[in-house]
Order: sequence, then C-alpha cells, then structure tokens
Amino acid sequence: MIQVRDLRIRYGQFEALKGIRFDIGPGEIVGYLGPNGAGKSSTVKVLTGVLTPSAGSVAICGHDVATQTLAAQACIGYVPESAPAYALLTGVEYLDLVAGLYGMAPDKSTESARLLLDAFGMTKIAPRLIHTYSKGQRQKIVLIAALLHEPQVLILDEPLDGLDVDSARKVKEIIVGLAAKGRSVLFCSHTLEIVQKLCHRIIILHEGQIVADQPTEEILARSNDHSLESVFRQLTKPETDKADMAQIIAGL
Amino acid sequence: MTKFHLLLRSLLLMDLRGQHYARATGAKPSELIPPLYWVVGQYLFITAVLSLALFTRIDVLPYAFVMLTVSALLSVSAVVVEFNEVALNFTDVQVIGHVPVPRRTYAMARFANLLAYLMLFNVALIIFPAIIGAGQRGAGWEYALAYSFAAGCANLFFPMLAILLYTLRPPEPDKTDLRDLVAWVQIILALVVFYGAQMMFRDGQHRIEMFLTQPPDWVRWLPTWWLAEWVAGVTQHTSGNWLTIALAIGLVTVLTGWLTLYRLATFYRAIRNGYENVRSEREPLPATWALTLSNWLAKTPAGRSSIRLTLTMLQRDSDLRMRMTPQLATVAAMLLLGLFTAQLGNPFQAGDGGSPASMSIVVIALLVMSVPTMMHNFLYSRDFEASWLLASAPGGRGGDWRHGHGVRRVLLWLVVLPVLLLLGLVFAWRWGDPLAAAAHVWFGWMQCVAVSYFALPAVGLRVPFSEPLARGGLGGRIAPFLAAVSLAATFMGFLEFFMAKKMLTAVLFAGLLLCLLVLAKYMISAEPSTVKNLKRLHS
Repeated sequence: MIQVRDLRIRYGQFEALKGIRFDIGPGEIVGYLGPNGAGKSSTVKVLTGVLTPSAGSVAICGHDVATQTLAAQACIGYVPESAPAYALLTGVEYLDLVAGLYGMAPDKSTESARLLLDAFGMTKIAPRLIHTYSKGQRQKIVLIAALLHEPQVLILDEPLDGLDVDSARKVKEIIVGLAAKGRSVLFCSHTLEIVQKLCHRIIILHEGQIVADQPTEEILARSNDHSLESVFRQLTKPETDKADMAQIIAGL
Repeated sequence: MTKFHLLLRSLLLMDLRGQHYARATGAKPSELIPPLYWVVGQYLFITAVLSLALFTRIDVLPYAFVMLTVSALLSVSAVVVEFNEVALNFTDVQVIGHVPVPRRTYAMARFANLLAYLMLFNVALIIFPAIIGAGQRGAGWEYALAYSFAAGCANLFFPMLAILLYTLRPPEPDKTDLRDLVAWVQIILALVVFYGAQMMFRDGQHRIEMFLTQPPDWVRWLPTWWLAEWVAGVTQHTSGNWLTIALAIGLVTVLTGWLTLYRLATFYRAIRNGYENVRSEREPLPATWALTLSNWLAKTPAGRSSIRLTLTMLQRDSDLRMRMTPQLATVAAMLLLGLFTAQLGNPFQAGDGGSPASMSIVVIALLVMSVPTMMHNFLYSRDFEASWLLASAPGGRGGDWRHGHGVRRVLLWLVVLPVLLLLGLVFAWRWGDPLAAAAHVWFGWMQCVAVSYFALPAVGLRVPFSEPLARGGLGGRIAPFLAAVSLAATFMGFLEFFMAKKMLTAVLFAGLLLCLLVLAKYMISAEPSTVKNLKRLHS
C-alpha cells in the first residue's frame, strides 16, 4: 500500500532524508518514530503529496505520488500534527468541504459524518465555528475528516494529542479495526507506550536514516528490559546520557 | 458540486467571517461581524461624502477623475493589505495540501475568490459616484453607464497590476513592509479626503475646486485622467471612437486578469511544493542596541525583559503595527491638511499676523489622544497563549505594572518621541522659530507621558500580549477613559492656545503640565483607591 524507495529530501544544503526505503502492506500498523528533526515530518509531507522529494519515489496504493498525485492522495486519510483546520468554518462545513474534495456522494458523506460525529461525541459541537473548539475537539474534527472517505491508507501524526481517555480509546479501536479490514496505517507519535501496544512493526528514523525496521517484538527484544524507550535511546544515542543528566540536575 | 465550487464556497464563507473583525466569543456564524461589510460600508461612506462634496462644484471631467482616482487607490490598497488572505494564502498547505485537489482547480478557486472580493468593492466604490455624478449639469444616464464601465475596469485593472508588481519578488508569508506602507497610505488618504472634503465648504478661495478644474500638466498623464476624459467624451458626445476605446479598456483589463491568474498559479504551485517551508525572518535586533536601550529605559531585569519583548514584538508583529496605523495616520493627515490649508501657525505668536494656529494644536492633541489607544493595542496578540509566562512570572497579574511600564516606555520613546521630533522639525520649518517649535513639542511630550501613566490602569495593561486578536476592545470598559482623554486633550489645547501667547502664562502652562505629570506618576506608583477600583474592573 505504501512503497518508499531511496527517498531523499534536501532543504538547501541540509539533507533531511538520506535515501530511506520501506514498505507498508495491507493490514499493517507501522509506528514511525524518531527524535525531533529526524525527518518524520518531511517523510509524511512527501507521502501526502505536499512536498516533492529531491530524489527517490513513493507509491500509495500503486500510484506514484509524484506523477499520479491526485490518485495517491485520494487513497490517504491524513491527520496532521496540531490538527490545522479552517477556523472560520463550522465543523459541519469543514466535513462537507473535505467530503466533497474527496469526491464522496452527499448522502454517503452525511451518513458517515453523522456516525463519526456521534462516535466522538461531537454532534452538538459540529455546528459551531472551529475557532471556538478546544484542542481535543479540533483534533477530533480533523480525525473525523481523515476517516470520512474510508481511505485505504491512514497517516496519523500524533492523532491522540489532546484527546480525552475515552476518545483516545475509540481512536485506537478504530485504527485496529481498520487494519483488520486490510487498511494500512502509518502511526507517528512520541508516546512510545501507545506505539508499543498498537503497532505491528516499528520504524525508527535518526538523522534522516532508518536505524531500525522490525516487528515490534523483535525491536523490544533488542533491549534487556523489553522497553521501546531503551531501544530508542540506544539507537538514536541522545546527546545527554545519564551521567550528564545527574550533573544537570545537581546544578538546578 | 464540483471541487472548484466547494472550495470557492468555503473561501467566500471565510472571507465573510474574517477574523479581524470577529467577536472573540462568537461561536456561531451568525454571531460574527463580517469584516467585508465594514469595509464595504466605509467605501460607500467615503465615496458618498466625496461625491456629494464635489457635486456641482466641478465639471464632469474633474469629477470623474477624482472619483476614479480615489476608488482605484482604495481598491489597490485593499488588495495589497489583504494579500495574504485573498490572493495567496500560505496556510492552505497545512489544511488542504494533502487533499486531492488539482493545482489548477485550487488556483482558479483562489482567483475567483479574489475576483469576488474585488467585485464587491467595485460595487461599493461605483454606486454613489455613478448615480450622483449622473445628476451633474451636462451629465445624464450616459455618465452613469460610462463611469460604471470605466470604474469597473479600473478597479480590476489597478489591483491586478498591483498584484503583478507586488509579486515581482516572491511573496513571503512574514514580509509585510509593503503592506504596512500601503495601509498607512490608505488610511492617510481616507482621512485627507474626508477632512479635505469638509474643508472645501469653508474655503472662500475655492482652492481645491480650482486645482481640480485646472490641474497641472502632470495630472493629465495619469491613467485615471485618460479614463475620465473618455467618460466625459461619452457623456458629452464629444468622443467619436468611444466604442473602440471601450473595447481597448476592456481588453487590457482582461489581459491583466489573465496575467495575474498565471502569476498567482505559479506561486500556488510553489507553495504546494513546500515553498511554505521558506520563511523569511527578520534579522534579530542588534543585541548591543537593544541591550543599551533596554538598560537605559528600565532599571530591573524584569523591566528590561519586558522592554526587549515589546521591542521585538513591535518589530516583528505586523498586525501590531497595523493596529497603530490609524491613530498615527490621523496625526499625519491633519498635519498635511494644516500645511495645505495654511493653518499651521505658531501658537506662541500673539496678534492676527500669520496663519491660524489651530491645526498646530490639533495635531498635538490628536497625538495625545492616540496614546491610550496605542497602548491598548499592546494587549492583543496572536501569541496570546504564550502570555502565561509573563502572567506567572513575578510582577504578573497579581503584581505591579512593571510589564505595562515596559510597553509604555517603548511606545513613548520609540513611537511617540520620533513623531514629536518630526512634528517639531515641520513646525520649526513652517514658523522659522525652532525655540517655539521645541516648546510646543515639549508640551505635547509632557501630555503624552502623563496620559500614558493614566492609561496603564484604565486599559488594564498589566500583562501585554495576553488577549486574543479581536475587535470590539475599544468599546466597553475603556470608552469612558478615551472620552475623558479626548476632552482633557482638547481642554489642554484650548489652554495652550490662550496661554502660549505671553511668556508668563506660557510658563504657567508648562508648570501645569509638570504637575499633571507628577500626579500621574504618583498615582500609578502609590495606587490609591481610584486606581485600585480601575484594577477591579479588569480582574
């Protein structure tokens, strides 16, 4: 469903991605991790057709994102980090816009929107302007917009940010349910506990390169305490190690 | 609905609900005050006033020229000021960059939105001049039609030409220099037109009418003069090839529109290719300069931090500068009018010799009145959520006015003082008396400083940049204070007018101002009950 081959992105002299390569098949939930500035956002922008890569290719559902952008984008449901939306539209208007732009029939989109709004407890809030929403409500409306057109591929960047416990649980259930139906999910998050529980496979990115791409159990087996955090630290070698931290804390 | 229609509908909805004028708590679409209505209302008002003021005072040709020029300038400035909202919106990438919309469809939707915006303004700018102009001697229904056609084309052509020129260098989301400048010019123009129109009725020498009826040669080279000549030719049946010229005007307008669409489509493509990653950043303030200034203006680390923050926000927040534009533009407009109508006399000169001194005093009074409004603007920011830092730091909400003083000092020393110095130079040049100019400006400075102290509790400037951007803040709690400042500034103006003519009374006036300043400073530092009551209003 997602095929990435030798993907490179350069911003001027800086190379954000250095020829990465991975596949995500139907029914897979893949965690995509990396420290800040590793290249996760750049990867996601290329996958969603927002950014043109400097080199390499990306295919979504068999459509090359560079040459068949519209077809590739039509397969994707994307939840960006910080849930940007048109604040001066109501939730209903925003979902109408998204449904129309994805070519959904009006009656189908209305029914889908109704079900999803109900599931997330947003039915009464949806007629209000988005700029009045709380962070969690905005996140929900963008999530609903991503799920509305029943995409084959879901790309989620911190989708649980700002959500209450119940809504977060529902989102996780939806993700697992969609994967069971054969959809592919790319899950980006800094919350390692969720990634560990939810994802079948984990890709770890560091300084523009993939340093790990294995099933979750195998990744966890790389550390003595079976903790994703330990593996992550081991592979991404943060600048500050334990000794330095002790010194910093002593000085505070 | 096609994707084009869907996008266009959403864009038009958002235009009508533009946040600049929205009530902060408006939750439903019906609770928002559409900003376009305000602007349309302003344009209707300006053109109506001008049309009526010029009605039967000048002939068809100069009448058409003035109205065409004013409406072209207003429509150009509207597009440039709102460029990032109506022409090229960088935030679209984040919201719909990943959605399957062909680039051409997106570009067409944005362009159609721009055209709708321009057409709305077009109607507002044409109605009154066309109808009222048709009632002029020697005009008639042909005038209304010809003027509507000429103005319709001009109000599309000039804004699109402005877009083409504006996009000669790639527009960047944070670069607002030209936009700031155009906003200034627009506001000054509107004020000059408004006040100039009413002054025309009081001018016994009819200088404005004479200028318009027999303009200098350079005016005849302006495109709006050519258009006005065509309108007059059609109206008075003196133009044999009016149809050919009309076709040429239409063709030029359409061609310019096509070029603009092509140009904007290029940028839309660049935006979708990650152009939005290219952010222009102003050079940071030179550290030594800012440090020296902040060290001099404040004596404590917290005070210095507030000043540095205010300096940086003033430099980088174009919205903040834009919100201060109307106040300072009023001062500039009055100065220009005073120069033009020779009412910028020396208030220290006794007797009837020389020009009246009324405008010299009005200019200073307007600056004094603008201080609390400008201070009030510092309450608002897009980054209002970040104000927790100031609020929770020592001297925040429960403390003293240290952050407010930071704003006050920056405003006085970096905005008000340069304006006063400039005014002083103009007065010195006009009067030939630098000492009188310095004294007059010093009187203004004392009043501005005093008002700035009183404004701190009145405006509630305890934590700057702490409230979301929303209009409506000038109503409610600070309106009585602003009214009081206006009355006080007017009263002080009267006092200066009468007291400045003799040395003894001038010194008394200076003494009065000093007492006022000391009182203001004492009130803020001691916080007597009146100030505490004002504080309670804001808690």
